[in-house]
Amino acid sequence: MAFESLIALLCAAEPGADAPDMPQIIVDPSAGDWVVDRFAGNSTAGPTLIQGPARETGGLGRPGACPLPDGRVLIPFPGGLAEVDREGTLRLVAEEDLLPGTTQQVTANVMAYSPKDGRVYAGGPACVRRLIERPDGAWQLEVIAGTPGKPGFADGPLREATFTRIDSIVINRRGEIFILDANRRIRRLADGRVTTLTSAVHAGGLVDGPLDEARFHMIDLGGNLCGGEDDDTLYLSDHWNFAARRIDLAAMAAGTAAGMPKPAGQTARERRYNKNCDGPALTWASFNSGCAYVCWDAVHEALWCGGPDENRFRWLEGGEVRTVIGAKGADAWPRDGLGTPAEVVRLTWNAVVAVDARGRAYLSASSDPTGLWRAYSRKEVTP
Amino acid sequence: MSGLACSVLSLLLAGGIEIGEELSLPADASGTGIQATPAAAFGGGVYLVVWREGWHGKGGSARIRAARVSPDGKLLDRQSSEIAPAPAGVQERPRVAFGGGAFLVVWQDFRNGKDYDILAARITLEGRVLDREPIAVAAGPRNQVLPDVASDGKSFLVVWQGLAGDETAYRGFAAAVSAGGKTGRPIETGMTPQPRVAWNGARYLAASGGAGFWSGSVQVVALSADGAPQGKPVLAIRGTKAAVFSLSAAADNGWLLASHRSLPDPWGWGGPGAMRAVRIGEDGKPVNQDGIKEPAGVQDRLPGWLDLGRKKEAGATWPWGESASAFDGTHSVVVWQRHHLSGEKMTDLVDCDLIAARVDGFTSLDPAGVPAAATQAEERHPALASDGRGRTLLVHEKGGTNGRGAVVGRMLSQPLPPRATLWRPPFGLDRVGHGAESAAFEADAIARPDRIIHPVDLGTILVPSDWLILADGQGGEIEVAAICRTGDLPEARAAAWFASAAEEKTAVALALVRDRVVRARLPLPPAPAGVDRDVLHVSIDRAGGDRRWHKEIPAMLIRRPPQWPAFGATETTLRYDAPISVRADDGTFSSLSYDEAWDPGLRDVVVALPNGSRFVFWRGSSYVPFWAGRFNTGLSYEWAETSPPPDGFTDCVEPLMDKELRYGRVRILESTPARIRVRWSYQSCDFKYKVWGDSAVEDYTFYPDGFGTRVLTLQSAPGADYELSEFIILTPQSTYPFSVLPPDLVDIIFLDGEKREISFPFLAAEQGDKMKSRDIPAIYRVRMHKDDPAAAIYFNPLDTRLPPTVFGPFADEGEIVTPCYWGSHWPLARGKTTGSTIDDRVRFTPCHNSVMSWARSRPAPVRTARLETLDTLGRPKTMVVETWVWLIGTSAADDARLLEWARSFASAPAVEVRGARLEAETCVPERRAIRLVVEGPVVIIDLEPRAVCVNPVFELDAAPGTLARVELGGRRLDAKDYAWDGRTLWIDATLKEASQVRLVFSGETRS
Repeated sequence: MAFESLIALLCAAEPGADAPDMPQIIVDPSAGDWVVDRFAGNSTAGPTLIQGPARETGGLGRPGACPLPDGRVLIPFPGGLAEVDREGTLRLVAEEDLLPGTTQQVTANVMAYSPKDGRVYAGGPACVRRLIERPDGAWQLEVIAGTPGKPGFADGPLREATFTRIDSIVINRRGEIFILDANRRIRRLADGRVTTLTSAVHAGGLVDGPLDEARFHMIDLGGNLCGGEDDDTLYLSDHWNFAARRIDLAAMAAGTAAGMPKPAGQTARERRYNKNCDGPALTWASFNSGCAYVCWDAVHEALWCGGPDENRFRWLEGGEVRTVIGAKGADAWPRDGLGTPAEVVRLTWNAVVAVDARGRAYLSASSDPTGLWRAYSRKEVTP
Repeated sequence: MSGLACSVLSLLLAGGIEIGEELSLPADASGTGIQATPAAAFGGGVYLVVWREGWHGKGGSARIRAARVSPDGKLLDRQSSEIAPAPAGVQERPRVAFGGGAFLVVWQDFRNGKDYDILAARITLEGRVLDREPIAVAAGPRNQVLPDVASDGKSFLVVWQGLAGDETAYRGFAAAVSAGGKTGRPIETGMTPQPRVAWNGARYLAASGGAGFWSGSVQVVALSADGAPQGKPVLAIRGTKAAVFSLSAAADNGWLLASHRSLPDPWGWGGPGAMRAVRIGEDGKPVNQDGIKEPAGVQDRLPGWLDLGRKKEAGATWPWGESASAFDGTHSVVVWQRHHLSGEKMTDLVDCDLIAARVDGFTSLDPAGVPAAATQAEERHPALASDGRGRTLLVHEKGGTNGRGAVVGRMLSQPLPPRATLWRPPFGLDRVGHGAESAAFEADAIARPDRIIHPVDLGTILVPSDWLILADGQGGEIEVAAICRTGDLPEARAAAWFASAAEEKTAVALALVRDRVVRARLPLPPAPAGVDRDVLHVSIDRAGGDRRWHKEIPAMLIRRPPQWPAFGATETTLRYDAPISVRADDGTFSSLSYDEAWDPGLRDVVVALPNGSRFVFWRGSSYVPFWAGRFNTGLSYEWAETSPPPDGFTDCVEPLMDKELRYGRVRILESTPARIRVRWSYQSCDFKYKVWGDSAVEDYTFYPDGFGTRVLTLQSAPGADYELSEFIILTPQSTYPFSVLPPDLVDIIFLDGEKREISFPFLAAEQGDKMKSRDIPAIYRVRMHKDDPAAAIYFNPLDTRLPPTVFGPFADEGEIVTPCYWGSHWPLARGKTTGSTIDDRVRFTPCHNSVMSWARSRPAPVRTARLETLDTLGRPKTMVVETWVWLIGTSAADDARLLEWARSFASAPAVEVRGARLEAETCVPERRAIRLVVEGPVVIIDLEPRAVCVNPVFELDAAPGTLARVELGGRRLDAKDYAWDGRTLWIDATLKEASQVRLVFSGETRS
């Protein structure tokens, strides 16, 4: 779908700006089918790393997730990298912390699987690394671009280029690697070279259009870059613009996909600013405290997105932002159970950190930094 | 360190802990394994260190290995031993304890590849594994993890967390393991996650916590020997992100919890970082509350905080993560992780070091922390074990450059004398020509009166030691020492004169020979009449009047000294001529006139006793009373000092902070020929005069024998925790502690006669055993000046615990520079908070030297009440009123006589009376008196001492008229042998067998 066409579609159902208010929460029609499982970690285990049955483990903090095609899931957590095998046993595979600095604020897209070469890539100190699974079961990290301990933004051949802080890694089917670098630049690794797509990620202001003129307003802390509906699409959580931004690599243009930048007036629609409101993506939907994360769901062709202070999980689908998980979130929901109705889940300061090939969303949250949950539609996935 | 200007006297607490050389634990044969998560225990004269070795993740085969270390920190095993060989799997998280003659090592074992079990094995003192098949402590089908173990010396108690059945929540369990390796039935403790256990010498305490992230808490509960919880868990630490904590036994049958507080947050959430210490009392409850409740928006370090991280900037550090603690026989030693900050927001933790501190109660004795392992490598996961004699083995992880960590160790110990030099240079004139001074001309002079008169008898107090104080008509001399390093001065002369009478000089020849110290004495010039302050000038001149050196000595000239009664209390205004040193908030110093420092209506009180002792209640000491010694020092027994109140305070909460006397008052209750009673009432306040509603009254009662009582009655909120006793020696301005304090500062004499002489500087490694209690009360003799034969005496028959805290010396540049704690914030000085160094303020204000303290160890009170009453802020409140009594005095008596005093005070004699009846409350220890109601003109009192009865005191109500006659054992006593004031009778007699006292009141014929 061409970029302009998508924007037109998103705007098609828009009520008038002076229309009466609409509900803050618009529940997705599929929400009742969704359930949430404790996937890894346990809320009673404590902060010390415990391996074993994934739902009995401890010490995972607020992790990320990287589902692999063979059913295993890699989990970067503060202090190391773990793997949950197909039998559901969690084992440590590397002791290196893959969530440096501000990456821990969101933990989405901190590592990525390359469908082209079947390898996993992750960030390192001022470098990009490839993970190699050793025969003994541990994973080894190998630098492929940049120089550890030598920060910078220099483009060039992979080894000569410099990186500052790898906040997000996105890999498309062509094997191109896209890096959100220190929340300052979006960079591409392709054909043995590093190039900068935009250096206006932190520039301030919201300008759509050609990428070399577009402006974004990310903050220093948190936020991420994710893939999109095709190999030429990226999404960026444009924090202080309170918007999810879409980057069309074919057209080398940026647009706005969802969210409500700070409005000038006080109409009923404008009062929804900064309030986690569902609704038409570009007019009535809003994020609270900015747009903190984006995560593309290729199965449902939807963009999970949310603000930093939300306790629901919402997606942008069909031009509208709707709540899928947590519509009736309760504090006392069974955090370590299986098959919990999605509507009762309550995770605050949350994010969908990955979606696997079966459309299962991996959830983490700072309010319950005890591991991962996995949400799925019972209609679509057999547990 | 030479010369008087000791500006280099700075922070010296690094001397509090001596850090040994790094010791590497032997890796496995391949030398490639990763060493991590060490633990250690001491027993039977050796340390056993255990750790995980090898990769413990997927595909790994980590094993628990062990090696022994000698008490002095030497590796005893060249090869470490594998405790539980297994064909596959991972063994992790070892813990170890010593009991029943062997070590028990516990760990979590993943050998089945599905879930963890808790296994254990015993190891002999020789390092041999006794259990070839590990002991299965908990081997259920689901995860059983994070074990800990402690021992009561005979058997072991293991705690862990585990899952059972289909449950999703961990539970806490405990099981006893006998010395023979038999495992008891698992008992649910409720203590999870991360259970820890420690034995305090009397019982087990378990702690757990860490389930919450934003509001994680740590709770504690006592466990029986088989692991059954003894009550409900008690909250000890609140508000800890991802609670990671350590637990160990501590002094006085307590425990110590240590835990971090908060990470540096880029948004500023969570407040400062801290390493917090919480003392758990013998009753299993937290002693300090600052782990539970903090002042809103706290930014400053609280008393229980061992470390602070606040500024997020380059070079800043932040305490976070693992800690360990152990009791070394004198103090708790705590080691924790301190990180350096890095990253864009200065919130990344890098370059982790390990910092150590000694902890008294819950307060750090090393406030800056002592770097115990602080190399460029990452040093983490400390574990401690102590021999209980001042030496503690620290083991920890150390990151290697190849990504493979190692386990290393270091001994932490009290500095030992051979390695710590005492800074005890010549004082006074002996300094001239001493040391590294190389001035061309160097000299000094000291003026002395012809005899020492008690300064208080001259109406003064704590006169600066380099001043001259002279009574009217008193003469004296000046001693001069000089050295000339450039040549001979054969014609030189020393001269002296008072500024107000410059024409009346005295002089003496001082023939100086190059590079030789020459001394001379010259008489004091006549003190000028009509002035009470002057300046004595001393000069050295060459022939022809060319002045080479000159000094001014302030002089206090006493024209009309006060006339104290031989026995009595007097309101007065003690004279102090030097200005009061004042420190402003910005750190600058100024001064305040002593004469304008308080409300002019406030007076001092001096108690004069026939033996020459003087007990003073001085405004300059915030009315904290003390024995003022003949040699210009003093001794205080302290006051009621409280724990941190829940809503925050500045510095300490104690009456010495009441510099302006907003709360403290002193009043003479009685001053008769037989008895003196003076009351000091106060509220403990903080540095900013904040009070919380508690109050204290201390009544001091004295008799003509020079002995009396200190009676402290404290009204406080329930649960308040107070310190009551400490020996504190006051020294005047310009006095280096080593110049006046003798090394044998304290004698401890138990009632059974055993004597322990405590010398200073106190080093636990040398004398730690001397401070172990014996469940027998002891009388204390505290010397307050090297030349004073009289010492202060202190005794409480209900106190069977020796002071848990002996203050170690300060050190600087590798030299010990004080015999014990030194502080310039009291007496007199204002605006300065409690310090931990000795500095140039020694020259500007009187100071104090804390010798030993009972800290929060309080004897049983003689009275306790719980009242619904008003606090000092006028609020209706439930309050607890408690009264304690100590025998006090100053005396040069020998040990035997002091024991008589103590035994007499400890047990009243049996009494039978005729001509009177015993009062309902017959014996009042507060006044060491027996109370009678007189019913006739002749009273006969038969006394039968249980041990000895020294100088009995009788309070006689309704006594008829004059006491005409006092007989003891049929012998009429002279008037000098007793004192009577119409109600109180004091008799100067030591009774060791049944004796009869006969009193005849007026009307009966004198014979």
